[in-house]
Amino acid sequence: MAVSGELGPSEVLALMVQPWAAVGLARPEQLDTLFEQLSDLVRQQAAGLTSEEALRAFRDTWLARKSGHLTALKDNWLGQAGPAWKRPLGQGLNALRAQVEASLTTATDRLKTAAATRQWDRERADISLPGRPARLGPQHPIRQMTEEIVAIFNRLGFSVGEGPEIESEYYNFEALNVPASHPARDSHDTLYLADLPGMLLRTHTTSVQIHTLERRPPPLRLVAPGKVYRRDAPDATHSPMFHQVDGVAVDRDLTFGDLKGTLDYFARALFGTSASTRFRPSFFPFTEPSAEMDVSCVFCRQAGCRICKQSGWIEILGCGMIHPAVFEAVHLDAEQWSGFAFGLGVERVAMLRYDVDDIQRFYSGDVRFLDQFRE
Amino acid sequence: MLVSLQWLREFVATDRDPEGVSRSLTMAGLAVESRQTVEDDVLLELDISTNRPDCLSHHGVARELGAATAQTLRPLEASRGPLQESSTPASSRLQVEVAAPEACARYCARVLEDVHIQPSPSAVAQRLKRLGQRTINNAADLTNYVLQEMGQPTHAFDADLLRGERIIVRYAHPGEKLLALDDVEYTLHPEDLVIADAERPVALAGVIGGKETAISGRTRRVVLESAWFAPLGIRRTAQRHAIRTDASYRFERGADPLALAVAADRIAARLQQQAGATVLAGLIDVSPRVFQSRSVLLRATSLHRLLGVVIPAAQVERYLTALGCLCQADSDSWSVTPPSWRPDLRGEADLIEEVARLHGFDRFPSRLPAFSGAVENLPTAEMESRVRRTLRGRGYAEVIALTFAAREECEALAPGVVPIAMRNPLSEEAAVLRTTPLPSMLHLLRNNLNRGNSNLRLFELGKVYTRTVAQDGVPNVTFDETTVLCLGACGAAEAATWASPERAYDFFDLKGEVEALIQGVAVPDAEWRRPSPEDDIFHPGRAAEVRCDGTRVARLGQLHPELAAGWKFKEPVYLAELNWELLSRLGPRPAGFVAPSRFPASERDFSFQFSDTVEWVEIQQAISALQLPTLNLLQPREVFRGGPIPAGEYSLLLRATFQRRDRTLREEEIQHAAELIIQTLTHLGGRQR
Repeated sequence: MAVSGELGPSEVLALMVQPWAAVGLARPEQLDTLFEQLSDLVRQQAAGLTSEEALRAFRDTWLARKSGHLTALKDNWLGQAGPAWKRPLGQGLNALRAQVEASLTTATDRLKTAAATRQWDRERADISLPGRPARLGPQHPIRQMTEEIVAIFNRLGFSVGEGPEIESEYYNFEALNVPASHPARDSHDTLYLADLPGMLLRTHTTSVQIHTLERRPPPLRLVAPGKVYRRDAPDATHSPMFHQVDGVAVDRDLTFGDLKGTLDYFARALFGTSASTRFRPSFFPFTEPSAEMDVSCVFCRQAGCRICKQSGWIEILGCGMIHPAVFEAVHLDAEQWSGFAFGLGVERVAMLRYDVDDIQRFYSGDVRFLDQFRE
Repeated sequence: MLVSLQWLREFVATDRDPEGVSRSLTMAGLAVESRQTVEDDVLLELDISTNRPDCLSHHGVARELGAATAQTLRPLEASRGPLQESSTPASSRLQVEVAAPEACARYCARVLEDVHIQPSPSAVAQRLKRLGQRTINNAADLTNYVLQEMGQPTHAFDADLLRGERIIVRYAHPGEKLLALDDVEYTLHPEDLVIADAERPVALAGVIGGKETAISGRTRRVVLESAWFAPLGIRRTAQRHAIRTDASYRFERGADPLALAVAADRIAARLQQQAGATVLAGLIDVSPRVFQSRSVLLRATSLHRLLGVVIPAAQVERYLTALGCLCQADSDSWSVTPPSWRPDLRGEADLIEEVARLHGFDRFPSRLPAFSGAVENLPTAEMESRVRRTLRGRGYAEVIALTFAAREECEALAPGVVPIAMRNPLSEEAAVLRTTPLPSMLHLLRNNLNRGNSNLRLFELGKVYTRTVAQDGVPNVTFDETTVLCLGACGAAEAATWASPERAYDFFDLKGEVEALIQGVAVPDAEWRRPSPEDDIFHPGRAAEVRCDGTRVARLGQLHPELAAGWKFKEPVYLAELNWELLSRLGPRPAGFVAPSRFPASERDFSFQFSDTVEWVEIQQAISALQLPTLNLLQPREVFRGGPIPAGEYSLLLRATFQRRDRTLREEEIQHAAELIIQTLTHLGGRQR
């Protein structure tokens, strides 16, 4: 059978198993056409390799050691051709082998990818379903608020102190210039302890001032956060137990201006730099002059609202210059030392900050309330 | 206190509108809480601090307004009507004796005759009504009117009902009774000061009048009392009998000792005009003590030192004079004599406050003071913040509970611990300070369950309070407040989701939390064991305590089913109580590390069947007693009961991990160790499966 003109795939295949002599090529150039046709054949077959079986069959057809086409070509053609044909035949065969192997690699990769894609498709999750809930406990708003307040005063050089909740009348009242039966005790409706004569539950953390000033020589700056108690029946704005942060600063020459500057800084740090403060005279037995600090209402920007009772101002804390009687109680010379003190209710600030309508929520332990304070 | 702006304007001519007046008063220290327009008047609700009894009247508030706005105050005498006295001396009709001069420093009285008791004229009645005062009759109303006007409490008696034409100011005799104007009969205490006639008490001095001698339609002759009573006694009497009247409120804060005559005369003059009364000659004035005002030294240097600015001397004097002080200037100081109505002005600081207040707090420049000290936190802060982080990370919500409890709750949950009781508790449920955090925790858990919240995990870092009672004749009572950490949990450890079923919270969840907490602390040697049987607040099989150096640092477990039923819990509740005070004192576990071994580890599993009497701790101890140098970790992988395992026994799958730090292990070494473990387990009564 002589090679002439275009051969179809089956004819090419038939030629491969013929002995070289039967191929009947006249000139080496005719080999190019033949190998092009073989290459087309490989390309056609490779395009149809869409299954493992087809891939295996293709590999066996071309590469099987005994019966593969390439072995047949090697044995029949290369083995039998004359020396002039060896070189072009060898090159053609190598190129054809490379093409078959490359086609196999490509097809294998394609099949793997397709299989993986199908696998991933089966593994596809409905990502719109909710995630498994991570249990993260909330921070109690009172704790959060206390820490924030204390942190601001830390920045201003105030250390943190504490004192006992079970307190003597002396530390809670007398040392703070509130003698027995003073009407100022009316506003501190006190819980007394039946089993401990002369002892009570502290009505303010101001008592920590005395403990601290007794122990530590000034200059000092200190804030004392903690629980305090009043004999108030629980309602939306009262609780027999609540939290206070009390502060004190004692130095050689602290003035009323230092008090104002310190507390003004505090108010802006807590309520934002747009907040402004005003100080108005008030009365506390342990400070003089005494003041209430109001902060401009951050809710209505002083237009007047429910929270500031239309006044534009919200009362935040009580403060004042330390009374000489307090210095006397701790054996400090009021001519040598001066200082200021302040106290604020944590619940009150938290209620303002989070617009909490009922103080009892803080002590209810209700997780529907608490969970909203998750960080 | 409620004041009428119209009335104020009678004493001080201010051109400010109601809002301006409110602002001036507020910024001078008399906080205006609310403002309300009533017809042609505006009522101001003022918050008067306890140190300012002088501001408990219209004239007093007007003085403040005048001082704050630099307006002159019209003195009281100027608006007083002419008083014509009859020729009959009052002293011929009434004898006054002050038998308790320390409690009644001065007693003034006027006697009036031919008084026509009738309703008050409309001008008086309207003013009183606007201020929310009840009107009774012209005599009684006038005492109230003058109280509102100038702050001096007075009282009117029906003179014909006073027996023996005598008034004696004395302490009550034991068992004496008084039917008061509030229709309550009070049994008097020997420390109660009374106004008595010749036979009996007719008023509780400075607090409330007696009903039997009250002014009525039949009254013709009136005795007007205007006195000064010592604040402390009035306060004690008012508290003892739980009576608070406008009079007691003022006396206990300190009335003006020099206002007595003016007040009596103003009432008398008005009764003369309005009720045709004849005023007998002379004011009866028994003054056991003469008031002397003391002067206070005010130094310019003190003013400057405390306020930080220099206020010109003329201004200082103007402020103090406007308040009624007499100022005598020296080179750099003043000798200041406060007025009789300012009992609060006793020292230099009091005067500095007055100057600062009238100068205006807003006029002092703010500044941040320099400071060169260290900022120290509480020694416990680091540990507390750690435990909070740990527990929040494990899903626990921090709670803050009221620290009160009912006595029985404490006794049930902390048997043998003596609570501290309140003398004046708010309720039986809050009668004592808690000795354990468990009652509060149980209340909060139950509140949550009642509201439909489930799968709870709560913790509290708070205090408990205990006392030790006198024993063996030792009279000492000591008490203590200690910080404890409390955990409470119930429901699911992992809630059911679309993806996974629920897993109930159990003892080992709780144990895991407590282990994690204790591992964070530098506990030298924590020993876990079952609590002693008398400590029976937990399920007997599901309870543990942790001891450290013999001291219990934690107890935990499932709340005893009987207690849980009593608390109306329908599901198991898990509780842990840790002595945080003690643990935090040990400090945090020191940071540091041991390099992990570079050599491979080998695992061997052992499957054994044991009797229930053999507990994990014994197995663990027995194997650790072998002191195998190759054994790195011993873990129970599976504990199984039921199925093919007979009752009273369980199967245990145990995993041993072998590893050395210095080299790879040889197979024979592992084999040898495994054989020793098998021998040990067999020796403990285990049967290999």
